[in-house]
Amino acid sequence: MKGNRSEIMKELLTELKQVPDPEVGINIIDLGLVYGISLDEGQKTLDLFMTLSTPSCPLGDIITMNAEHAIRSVLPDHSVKVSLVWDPQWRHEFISEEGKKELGIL
Amino acid sequence: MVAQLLLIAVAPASAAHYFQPGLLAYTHLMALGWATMLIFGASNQLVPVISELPLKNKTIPLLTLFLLAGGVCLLSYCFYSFRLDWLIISGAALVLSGVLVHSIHIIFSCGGKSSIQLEFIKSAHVWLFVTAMLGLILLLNLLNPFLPEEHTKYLRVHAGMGMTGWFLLLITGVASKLMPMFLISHYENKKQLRLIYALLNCAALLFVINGFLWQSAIAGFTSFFLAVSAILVFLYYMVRVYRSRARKKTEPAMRQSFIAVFMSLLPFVLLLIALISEKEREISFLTATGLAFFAGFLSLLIMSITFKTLPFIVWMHSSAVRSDSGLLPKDMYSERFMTIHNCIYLAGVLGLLGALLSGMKMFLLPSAIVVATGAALYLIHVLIVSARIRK
Repeated sequence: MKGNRSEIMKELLTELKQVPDPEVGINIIDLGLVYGISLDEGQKTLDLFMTLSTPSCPLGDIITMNAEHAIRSVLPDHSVKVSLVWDPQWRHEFISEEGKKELGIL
Repeated sequence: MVAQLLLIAVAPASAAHYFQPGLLAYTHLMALGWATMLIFGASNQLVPVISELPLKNKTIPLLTLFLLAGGVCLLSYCFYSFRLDWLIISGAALVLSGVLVHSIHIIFSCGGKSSIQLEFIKSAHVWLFVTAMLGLILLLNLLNPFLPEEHTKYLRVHAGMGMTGWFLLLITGVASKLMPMFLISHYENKKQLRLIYALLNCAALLFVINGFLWQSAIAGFTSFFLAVSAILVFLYYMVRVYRSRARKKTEPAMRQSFIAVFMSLLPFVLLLIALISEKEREISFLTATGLAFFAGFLSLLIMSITFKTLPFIVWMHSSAVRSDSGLLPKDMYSERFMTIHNCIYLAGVLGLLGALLSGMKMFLLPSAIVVATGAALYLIHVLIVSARIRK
Protein backbone atom coordinates (compact mmCIF):
# COMPACT_ATOMS: atom_id res chain seq x y z
CA MET A 1 0.00 0.00 0.00
CA LYS A 2 1.33 3.41 -0.98
CA GLY A 3 0.15 5.33 2.07
CA ASN A 4 -2.86 5.94 4.23
CA ARG A 5 -6.40 6.13 2.84
CA SER A 6 -6.64 9.93 2.63
CA GLU A 7 -3.31 10.12 0.80
CA ILE A 8 -4.44 7.45 -1.68
CA MET A 9 -7.72 9.27 -2.27
CA LYS A 10 -5.84 12.54 -2.79
CA GLU A 11 -3.54 10.86 -5.30
CA LEU A 12 -6.52 9.26 -7.07
CA LEU A 13 -8.23 12.63 -7.41
CA THR A 14 -5.02 14.14 -8.80
CA GLU A 15 -4.78 11.39 -11.42
CA LEU A 16 -8.49 11.52 -12.29
CA LYS A 17 -8.09 15.26 -12.81
CA GLN A 18 -5.81 14.36 -15.73
CA VAL A 19 -8.70 12.58 -17.47
CA PRO A 20 -10.59 14.98 -19.72
CA ASP A 21 -14.05 14.79 -21.21
CA PRO A 22 -12.76 15.06 -24.80
CA GLU A 23 -15.80 16.97 -25.99
CA VAL A 24 -15.79 19.60 -23.24
CA GLY A 25 -12.03 19.67 -22.69
CA ILE A 26 -12.43 19.75 -18.90
CA ASN A 27 -11.39 16.97 -16.53
CA ILE A 28 -14.03 14.59 -15.24
CA ILE A 29 -13.60 15.70 -11.61
CA ASP A 30 -14.17 19.40 -12.28
CA LEU A 31 -16.99 18.52 -14.64
CA GLY A 32 -18.68 16.66 -11.77
CA LEU A 33 -18.89 13.37 -13.63
CA VAL A 34 -17.45 11.31 -10.76
CA TYR A 35 -20.17 10.49 -8.26
CA GLY A 36 -18.24 8.32 -5.86
CA ILE A 37 -15.20 6.14 -5.17
CA SER A 38 -15.45 3.03 -3.03
CA LEU A 39 -12.08 1.70 -1.94
CA ASP A 40 -11.77 -1.61 -0.09
CA GLU A 41 -8.16 -1.86 1.02
CA GLY A 42 -8.61 -5.35 2.51
CA GLN A 43 -10.09 -6.85 -0.69
CA LYS A 44 -7.86 -4.62 -2.86
CA THR A 45 -10.82 -3.46 -4.91
CA LEU A 46 -11.90 -0.04 -6.10
CA ASP A 47 -15.29 0.88 -7.53
CA LEU A 48 -15.64 4.17 -9.36
CA PHE A 49 -19.16 5.45 -9.95
CA MET A 50 -19.40 8.04 -12.63
CA THR A 51 -21.76 9.45 -15.24
CA LEU A 52 -21.52 11.19 -18.62
CA SER A 53 -22.79 14.62 -19.62
CA THR A 54 -25.26 12.85 -21.95
CA PRO A 55 -26.29 9.17 -21.95
CA SER A 56 -25.77 8.88 -25.70
CA CYS A 57 -22.20 10.24 -25.52
CA PRO A 58 -20.22 8.24 -28.11
CA LEU A 59 -17.02 8.85 -26.15
CA GLY A 60 -18.26 7.07 -23.01
CA ASP A 61 -16.03 4.01 -23.49
CA ILE A 62 -12.94 6.16 -23.96
CA ILE A 63 -13.64 8.28 -20.88
CA THR A 64 -14.22 5.21 -18.66
CA MET A 65 -11.13 3.50 -20.12
CA ASN A 66 -9.00 6.55 -19.33
CA ALA A 67 -10.46 6.79 -15.81
CA GLU A 68 -9.61 3.12 -15.21
CA HIS A 69 -6.11 3.70 -16.58
CA ALA A 70 -5.65 6.67 -14.20
CA ILE A 71 -6.75 4.60 -11.18
CA ARG A 72 -4.44 1.72 -12.12
CA SER A 73 -1.50 4.12 -12.22
CA VAL A 74 -2.11 4.79 -8.49
CA LEU A 75 -3.29 1.34 -7.43
CA PRO A 76 -1.71 -1.17 -9.83
CA ASP A 77 -2.42 -4.15 -7.54
CA HIS A 78 -6.15 -3.40 -7.12
CA SER A 79 -9.08 -4.74 -9.03
CA VAL A 80 -10.75 -1.69 -10.60
CA LYS A 81 -14.36 -1.43 -11.73
CA VAL A 82 -15.79 1.69 -13.37
CA SER A 83 -19.59 1.83 -13.38
CA LEU A 84 -21.71 4.33 -15.31
CA VAL A 85 -24.73 5.56 -13.37
CA TRP A 86 -27.55 7.76 -14.63
CA ASP A 87 -29.29 8.63 -11.38
CA PRO A 88 -29.02 11.46 -10.60
CA GLN A 89 -28.79 12.74 -14.14
CA TRP A 90 -25.78 15.00 -14.59
CA ARG A 91 -26.59 18.70 -14.30
CA HIS A 92 -24.63 21.92 -14.78
CA GLU A 93 -24.72 22.47 -11.02
CA PHE A 94 -22.31 19.57 -10.57
CA ILE A 95 -19.48 21.49 -12.26
CA SER A 96 -16.84 22.81 -9.84
CA GLU A 97 -15.97 26.50 -9.57
CA GLU A 98 -12.81 25.87 -11.55
CA GLY A 99 -14.75 24.02 -14.26
CA LYS A 100 -17.31 26.81 -14.47
CA LYS A 101 -14.52 29.33 -14.97
CA GLU A 102 -13.10 27.24 -17.82
CA LEU A 103 -16.53 26.94 -19.46
CA GLY A 104 -17.10 30.66 -19.14
CA ILE A 105 -20.09 30.28 -16.81
CA LEU A 106 -18.43 32.40 -14.09
CA MET B 1 -15.17 20.09 -54.78
CA VAL B 2 -16.16 18.47 -58.08
CA ALA B 3 -19.54 20.17 -57.82
CA GLN B 4 -17.95 23.57 -57.22
CA LEU B 5 -15.61 23.12 -60.19
CA LEU B 6 -18.66 22.28 -62.24
CA LEU B 7 -20.28 25.43 -60.87
CA ILE B 8 -17.49 27.49 -62.46
CA ALA B 9 -18.44 25.94 -65.80
CA VAL B 10 -22.20 26.40 -65.40
CA ALA B 11 -22.30 29.69 -63.46
CA PRO B 12 -22.34 32.03 -66.50
CA ALA B 13 -25.46 30.28 -67.79
CA SER B 14 -27.18 29.89 -64.42
CA ALA B 15 -29.22 33.05 -64.86
CA ALA B 16 -31.21 31.25 -67.55
CA HIS B 17 -33.78 28.48 -66.79
CA TYR B 18 -32.88 25.97 -64.06
CA PHE B 19 -33.87 23.07 -66.33
CA GLN B 20 -30.58 22.92 -68.20
CA PRO B 21 -27.90 20.18 -68.31
CA GLY B 22 -25.20 21.98 -66.28
CA LEU B 23 -27.49 23.01 -63.44
CA LEU B 24 -29.13 19.58 -63.30
CA ALA B 25 -25.69 17.96 -63.03
CA TYR B 26 -24.61 20.50 -60.38
CA THR B 27 -27.78 20.06 -58.31
CA HIS B 28 -27.51 16.26 -58.31
CA LEU B 29 -23.80 16.40 -57.44
CA MET B 30 -24.57 18.72 -54.51
CA ALA B 31 -27.70 16.94 -53.29
CA LEU B 32 -26.55 13.35 -53.79
CA GLY B 33 -22.77 13.29 -54.23
CA TRP B 34 -22.08 15.77 -51.45
CA ALA B 35 -24.92 16.15 -48.96
CA THR B 36 -26.66 12.77 -49.13
CA MET B 37 -23.45 10.73 -49.29
CA LEU B 38 -22.11 12.60 -46.27
CA ILE B 39 -25.38 12.17 -44.40
CA PHE B 40 -25.32 8.43 -45.17
CA GLY B 41 -21.86 8.15 -43.59
CA ALA B 42 -22.85 10.32 -40.62
CA SER B 43 -26.07 8.38 -40.01
CA ASN B 44 -24.07 5.15 -39.78
CA GLN B 45 -22.18 6.79 -36.89
CA LEU B 46 -25.12 8.60 -35.32
CA VAL B 47 -27.95 6.04 -35.35
CA PRO B 48 -26.10 3.64 -32.99
CA VAL B 49 -25.55 6.57 -30.60
CA ILE B 50 -29.25 7.50 -30.51
CA SER B 51 -30.69 3.98 -30.64
CA GLU B 52 -27.99 2.63 -28.28
CA LEU B 53 -27.80 -0.39 -30.57
CA PRO B 54 -25.04 -1.36 -33.02
CA LEU B 55 -25.67 -1.23 -36.76
CA LYS B 56 -27.33 -4.41 -38.03
CA ASN B 57 -24.60 -4.99 -40.61
CA LYS B 58 -21.13 -3.54 -41.12
CA THR B 59 -20.81 -4.33 -44.86
CA ILE B 60 -23.99 -2.55 -45.97
CA PRO B 61 -22.54 1.00 -45.47
CA LEU B 62 -19.72 0.12 -47.90
CA LEU B 63 -22.19 -1.36 -50.39
CA THR B 64 -24.39 1.75 -50.27
CA LEU B 65 -21.32 3.95 -50.73
CA PHE B 66 -20.41 2.13 -53.97
CA LEU B 67 -24.01 2.11 -55.24
CA LEU B 68 -24.54 5.79 -54.51
CA ALA B 69 -21.10 6.91 -55.74
CA GLY B 70 -21.46 4.94 -58.99
CA GLY B 71 -25.00 6.20 -59.51
CA VAL B 72 -24.12 9.85 -58.86
CA CYS B 73 -21.15 9.71 -61.27
CA LEU B 74 -23.30 8.29 -64.07
CA LEU B 75 -26.22 10.57 -63.34
CA SER B 76 -24.12 13.75 -63.23
CA TYR B 77 -22.13 12.85 -66.33
CA CYS B 78 -25.32 12.07 -68.28
CA PHE B 79 -27.07 15.24 -67.08
CA TYR B 80 -24.05 17.38 -68.00
CA SER B 81 -23.73 15.89 -71.47
CA PHE B 82 -27.54 15.57 -71.67
CA ARG B 83 -27.19 11.92 -72.58
CA LEU B 84 -30.71 10.65 -72.01
CA ASP B 85 -30.45 6.92 -72.66
CA TRP B 86 -29.92 3.65 -70.82
CA LEU B 87 -26.80 5.06 -69.09
CA ILE B 88 -28.67 7.74 -67.14
CA ILE B 89 -31.39 5.22 -66.25
CA SER B 90 -28.64 2.91 -64.94
CA GLY B 91 -27.26 5.79 -62.86
CA ALA B 92 -30.69 6.56 -61.39
CA ALA B 93 -31.30 2.85 -60.73
CA LEU B 94 -27.96 2.60 -58.88
CA VAL B 95 -28.86 5.64 -56.77
CA LEU B 96 -32.30 4.20 -56.02
CA SER B 97 -30.77 0.83 -55.04
CA GLY B 98 -28.24 2.55 -52.77
CA VAL B 99 -30.99 4.62 -51.16
CA LEU B 100 -33.22 1.56 -50.69
CA VAL B 101 -30.49 -0.60 -49.14
CA HIS B 102 -29.28 2.22 -46.87
CA SER B 103 -32.82 3.19 -45.79
CA ILE B 104 -33.84 -0.38 -44.92
CA HIS B 105 -30.60 -0.87 -43.01
CA ILE B 106 -30.98 2.39 -41.06
CA ILE B 107 -34.66 1.80 -40.27
CA PHE B 108 -33.86 -1.70 -38.92
CA SER B 109 -30.82 -0.40 -37.03
CA CYS B 110 -33.03 2.17 -35.27
CA GLY B 111 -34.54 -0.77 -33.37
CA GLY B 112 -37.71 -0.51 -31.34
CA LYS B 113 -36.56 2.28 -29.03
CA SER B 114 -39.05 5.11 -28.73
CA SER B 115 -37.32 8.38 -29.62
CA ILE B 116 -38.67 11.33 -31.59
CA GLN B 117 -35.25 11.81 -33.20
CA LEU B 118 -35.35 8.24 -34.54
CA GLU B 119 -38.80 8.96 -35.98
CA PHE B 120 -37.34 11.97 -37.81
CA ILE B 121 -34.54 9.79 -39.20
CA LYS B 122 -36.83 6.93 -40.28
CA SER B 123 -39.42 9.19 -41.93
CA ALA B 124 -36.71 11.21 -43.71
CA HIS B 125 -35.36 7.99 -45.24
CA VAL B 126 -38.83 7.05 -46.48
CA TRP B 127 -39.09 10.50 -48.13
CA LEU B 128 -35.65 10.05 -49.67
CA PHE B 129 -36.69 6.75 -51.21
CA VAL B 130 -39.89 8.27 -52.65
CA THR B 131 -37.87 11.25 -53.98
CA ALA B 132 -35.33 8.94 -55.66
CA MET B 133 -38.16 6.82 -57.09
CA LEU B 134 -39.84 9.91 -58.56
CA GLY B 135 -36.45 10.95 -59.97
CA LEU B 136 -36.23 7.66 -61.86
CA ILE B 137 -39.82 8.03 -63.10
CA LEU B 138 -39.01 11.55 -64.31
CA LEU B 139 -36.03 10.28 -66.28
CA LEU B 140 -38.19 7.58 -67.90
CA ASN B 141 -40.66 10.33 -68.73
CA LEU B 142 -37.90 12.36 -70.38
CA LEU B 143 -37.02 9.37 -72.56
CA ASN B 144 -40.62 8.45 -73.43
CA PRO B 145 -43.12 11.03 -72.18
CA PHE B 146 -46.08 9.41 -70.44
CA LEU B 147 -46.94 11.84 -67.63
CA PRO B 148 -49.99 14.03 -68.37
CA GLU B 149 -48.56 17.40 -67.30
CA GLU B 150 -45.46 19.42 -68.22
CA HIS B 151 -42.21 17.77 -67.03
CA THR B 152 -40.99 20.76 -64.93
CA LYS B 153 -44.13 20.57 -62.76
CA TYR B 154 -43.10 17.11 -61.58
CA LEU B 155 -39.50 18.28 -61.31
CA ARG B 156 -40.63 20.84 -58.72
CA VAL B 157 -42.40 18.08 -56.76
CA HIS B 158 -39.21 15.98 -56.89
CA ALA B 159 -37.07 18.92 -55.66
CA GLY B 160 -39.53 20.07 -52.98
CA MET B 161 -39.98 16.54 -51.67
CA GLY B 162 -36.22 16.04 -51.39
CA MET B 163 -35.63 19.40 -49.75
CA THR B 164 -38.47 19.21 -47.22
CA GLY B 165 -39.04 15.50 -46.67
CA TRP B 166 -35.43 14.35 -46.77
CA PHE B 167 -33.03 17.17 -45.91
CA LEU B 168 -35.12 19.38 -43.61
CA LEU B 169 -36.73 16.51 -41.73
CA LEU B 170 -33.39 14.80 -41.21
CA ILE B 171 -31.45 17.95 -40.29
CA THR B 172 -34.02 19.24 -37.80
CA GLY B 173 -34.28 15.81 -36.13
CA VAL B 174 -30.56 15.21 -35.93
CA ALA B 175 -29.73 18.80 -34.91
CA SER B 176 -32.22 18.57 -32.04
CA LYS B 177 -30.07 15.75 -30.68
CA LEU B 178 -26.58 16.91 -31.63
CA MET B 179 -26.72 20.63 -30.83
CA PRO B 180 -27.66 20.12 -27.13
CA MET B 181 -24.96 17.43 -26.93
CA PHE B 182 -22.26 19.71 -28.33
CA LEU B 183 -23.32 22.74 -26.27
CA ILE B 184 -24.02 20.72 -23.09
CA SER B 185 -27.58 21.91 -22.89
CA HIS B 186 -30.34 19.89 -21.30
CA TYR B 187 -33.12 21.78 -23.02
CA GLU B 188 -35.56 19.28 -24.47
CA ASN B 189 -39.16 19.89 -25.47
CA LYS B 190 -40.71 16.85 -27.10
CA LYS B 191 -43.96 18.72 -27.85
CA GLN B 192 -42.06 21.21 -30.00
CA LEU B 193 -40.15 18.41 -31.73
CA ARG B 194 -43.40 16.54 -32.48
CA LEU B 195 -44.86 19.76 -33.86
CA ILE B 196 -41.85 20.26 -36.17
CA TYR B 197 -42.13 16.62 -37.26
CA ALA B 198 -45.86 16.94 -38.01
CA LEU B 199 -45.51 20.30 -39.80
CA LEU B 200 -42.68 19.13 -42.07
CA ASN B 201 -44.39 15.85 -42.97
CA CYS B 202 -47.69 17.62 -43.66
CA ALA B 203 -45.88 20.27 -45.76
CA ALA B 204 -44.13 17.62 -47.87
CA LEU B 205 -47.28 15.51 -48.22
CA LEU B 206 -49.45 18.46 -49.23
CA PHE B 207 -46.77 19.64 -51.65
CA VAL B 208 -46.69 16.24 -53.37
CA ILE B 209 -50.47 15.78 -53.52
CA ASN B 210 -50.90 19.31 -54.80
CA GLY B 211 -48.16 18.84 -57.39
CA PHE B 212 -49.71 15.65 -58.75
CA LEU B 213 -53.43 16.26 -58.39
CA TRP B 214 -54.58 19.82 -57.79
CA GLN B 215 -51.83 22.28 -58.71
CA SER B 216 -53.69 24.85 -56.68
CA ALA B 217 -52.01 28.07 -55.55
CA ILE B 218 -53.77 27.97 -52.16
CA ALA B 219 -52.56 24.45 -51.44
CA GLY B 220 -49.06 25.48 -52.60
CA PHE B 221 -49.00 28.44 -50.21
CA THR B 222 -50.40 26.30 -47.36
CA SER B 223 -47.63 23.78 -47.89
CA PHE B 224 -45.10 26.61 -47.96
CA PHE B 225 -46.37 28.12 -44.70
CA LEU B 226 -46.42 24.72 -42.99
CA ALA B 227 -42.73 24.27 -43.86
CA VAL B 228 -41.85 27.83 -42.78
CA SER B 229 -43.73 27.31 -39.49
CA ALA B 230 -41.70 24.14 -38.90
CA ILE B 231 -38.47 26.06 -39.54
CA LEU B 232 -39.51 28.87 -37.19
CA VAL B 233 -40.36 26.40 -34.38
CA PHE B 234 -37.03 24.67 -35.04
CA LEU B 235 -35.11 27.96 -34.86
CA TYR B 236 -36.92 28.82 -31.62
CA TYR B 237 -35.89 25.39 -30.30
CA MET B 238 -32.27 26.04 -31.28
CA VAL B 239 -32.30 29.44 -29.57
CA ARG B 240 -33.58 27.81 -26.36
CA VAL B 241 -30.85 25.17 -26.62
CA TYR B 242 -28.23 27.87 -27.13
CA ARG B 243 -29.44 30.00 -24.23
CA SER B 244 -29.51 27.10 -21.77
CA ARG B 245 -26.05 25.84 -22.68
CA ALA B 246 -23.49 25.16 -19.95
CA ARG B 247 -20.69 25.86 -22.34
CA LYS B 248 -20.70 29.64 -22.56
CA LYS B 249 -17.45 29.82 -24.56
CA THR B 250 -18.86 28.61 -27.88
CA GLU B 251 -16.38 27.31 -30.44
CA PRO B 252 -16.26 28.83 -33.95
CA ALA B 253 -17.56 25.55 -35.46
CA MET B 254 -20.69 25.80 -33.33
CA ARG B 255 -21.17 29.51 -34.02
CA GLN B 256 -20.88 28.88 -37.76
CA SER B 257 -23.31 25.95 -37.49
CA PHE B 258 -25.81 28.29 -35.88
CA ILE B 259 -25.34 30.84 -38.67
CA ALA B 260 -25.98 28.02 -41.18
CA VAL B 261 -29.07 26.87 -39.25
CA PHE B 262 -30.49 30.39 -39.46
CA MET B 263 -29.66 30.46 -43.17
CA SER B 264 -32.35 27.80 -43.58
CA LEU B 265 -34.84 30.69 -43.73
CA LEU B 266 -33.16 32.26 -46.77
CA PRO B 267 -34.35 29.71 -49.38
CA PHE B 268 -37.91 30.14 -48.09
CA VAL B 269 -37.73 33.93 -48.38
CA LEU B 270 -36.47 33.54 -51.96
CA LEU B 271 -39.15 30.95 -52.71
CA LEU B 272 -41.85 33.26 -51.39
CA ILE B 273 -40.60 36.02 -53.68
CA ALA B 274 -40.55 33.53 -56.58
CA LEU B 275 -44.15 32.50 -55.84
CA ILE B 276 -45.44 36.06 -55.90
CA SER B 277 -43.22 37.49 -58.65
CA GLU B 278 -43.79 37.66 -62.39
CA LYS B 279 -42.87 34.77 -64.67
CA GLU B 280 -39.54 36.29 -65.87
CA ARG B 281 -38.30 36.95 -62.33
CA GLU B 282 -39.68 33.65 -61.02
CA ILE B 283 -37.03 31.55 -62.76
CA SER B 284 -34.02 33.40 -61.29
CA PHE B 285 -35.60 33.36 -57.82
CA LEU B 286 -36.27 29.61 -58.10
CA THR B 287 -32.64 29.01 -59.15
CA ALA B 288 -31.51 31.22 -56.24
CA THR B 289 -33.77 29.20 -53.88
CA GLY B 290 -32.02 25.97 -54.86
CA LEU B 291 -28.60 27.61 -54.62
CA ALA B 292 -29.37 29.12 -51.18
CA PHE B 293 -30.60 25.74 -49.99
CA PHE B 294 -27.85 23.43 -51.29
CA ALA B 295 -24.78 25.65 -51.62
CA GLY B 296 -25.79 27.99 -48.76
CA PHE B 297 -27.66 26.50 -45.82
CA LEU B 298 -26.93 22.80 -46.35
CA SER B 299 -23.27 23.08 -47.40
CA LEU B 300 -22.32 25.64 -44.78
CA LEU B 301 -23.95 23.53 -42.08
CA ILE B 302 -22.04 20.45 -43.22
CA MET B 303 -18.78 22.41 -43.59
CA SER B 304 -19.09 23.70 -40.01
CA ILE B 305 -20.32 20.53 -38.34
CA THR B 306 -17.56 18.55 -40.10
CA PHE B 307 -15.14 20.10 -37.62
CA LYS B 308 -17.28 19.00 -34.69
CA THR B 309 -17.52 15.39 -35.82
CA LEU B 310 -14.51 14.49 -37.99
CA PRO B 311 -11.88 15.45 -35.36
CA PHE B 312 -13.68 13.12 -32.91
CA ILE B 313 -13.72 10.23 -35.34
CA VAL B 314 -10.02 10.76 -36.14
CA TRP B 315 -9.16 11.24 -32.46
CA MET B 316 -10.97 8.01 -31.48
CA HIS B 317 -8.88 6.10 -34.04
CA SER B 318 -5.55 7.64 -33.08
CA SER B 319 -3.07 7.17 -30.24
CA ALA B 320 -4.19 10.57 -28.90
CA VAL B 321 -7.14 8.74 -27.36
CA ARG B 322 -5.02 8.05 -24.22
CA SER B 323 -5.48 10.89 -21.72
CA ASP B 324 -1.69 11.08 -21.16
CA SER B 325 -1.25 12.13 -24.80
CA GLY B 326 -2.56 15.56 -23.85
CA LEU B 327 -4.30 15.84 -27.23
CA LEU B 328 -8.02 16.49 -27.52
CA PRO B 329 -10.26 16.34 -30.63
CA LYS B 330 -10.13 20.14 -30.86
CA ASP B 331 -6.34 19.87 -31.36
CA MET B 332 -6.87 17.83 -34.54
CA TYR B 333 -7.88 20.79 -36.71
CA SER B 334 -7.27 24.51 -37.10
CA GLU B 335 -10.17 26.75 -36.02
CA ARG B 336 -8.56 29.66 -37.88
CA PHE B 337 -8.23 27.75 -41.15
CA MET B 338 -11.82 26.51 -40.83
CA THR B 339 -13.10 30.05 -40.30
CA ILE B 340 -11.09 31.30 -43.30
CA HIS B 341 -12.36 28.69 -45.79
CA ASN B 342 -15.93 28.85 -44.53
CA CYS B 343 -15.93 32.66 -44.83
CA ILE B 344 -14.48 32.50 -48.36
CA TYR B 345 -17.11 29.94 -49.30
CA LEU B 346 -19.97 31.96 -47.79
CA ALA B 347 -18.75 35.15 -49.51
CA GLY B 348 -18.78 33.28 -52.85
CA VAL B 349 -22.30 31.94 -52.29
CA LEU B 350 -23.62 35.37 -51.31
CA GLY B 351 -21.90 36.82 -54.38
CA LEU B 352 -23.57 34.23 -56.60
CA LEU B 353 -26.98 34.92 -55.08
CA GLY B 354 -26.47 38.66 -55.45
CA ALA B 355 -25.40 38.29 -59.10
CA LEU B 356 -28.33 35.98 -59.88
CA LEU B 357 -30.95 38.19 -58.26
CA SER B 358 -29.61 41.52 -59.50
CA GLY B 359 -29.06 40.20 -62.99
CA MET B 360 -25.38 41.27 -62.93
CA LYS B 361 -24.14 38.27 -64.87
CA MET B 362 -20.49 39.41 -64.89
CA PHE B 363 -20.27 38.57 -61.19
CA LEU B 364 -21.46 34.96 -61.64
CA LEU B 365 -18.11 33.52 -62.75
CA PRO B 366 -15.90 35.36 -60.19
CA SER B 367 -18.31 34.33 -57.41
CA ALA B 368 -18.25 30.71 -58.59
CA ILE B 369 -14.42 30.81 -58.48
CA VAL B 370 -14.56 32.13 -54.89
CA VAL B 371 -17.00 29.31 -53.95
CA ALA B 372 -14.67 26.72 -55.52
CA THR B 373 -11.68 28.22 -53.67
CA GLY B 374 -13.50 27.91 -50.34
CA ALA B 375 -14.49 24.33 -51.19
CA ALA B 376 -10.89 23.45 -52.21
CA LEU B 377 -9.49 24.81 -48.92
CA TYR B 378 -12.17 22.89 -47.01
CA LEU B 379 -11.20 19.70 -48.83
CA ILE B 380 -7.50 20.28 -48.05
CA HIS B 381 -8.38 20.82 -44.37
CA VAL B 382 -10.47 17.63 -44.24
CA LEU B 383 -7.62 15.65 -45.84
CA ILE B 384 -5.10 17.07 -43.33
CA VAL B 385 -7.35 16.11 -40.40
CA SER B 386 -8.07 12.65 -41.86
CA ALA B 387 -4.34 12.02 -42.36
CA ARG B 388 -3.89 12.13 -38.57
CA ILE B 389 -5.83 8.90 -38.19
CA ARG B 390 -3.83 6.14 -36.44
CA LYS B 391 -0.86 8.46 -35.88
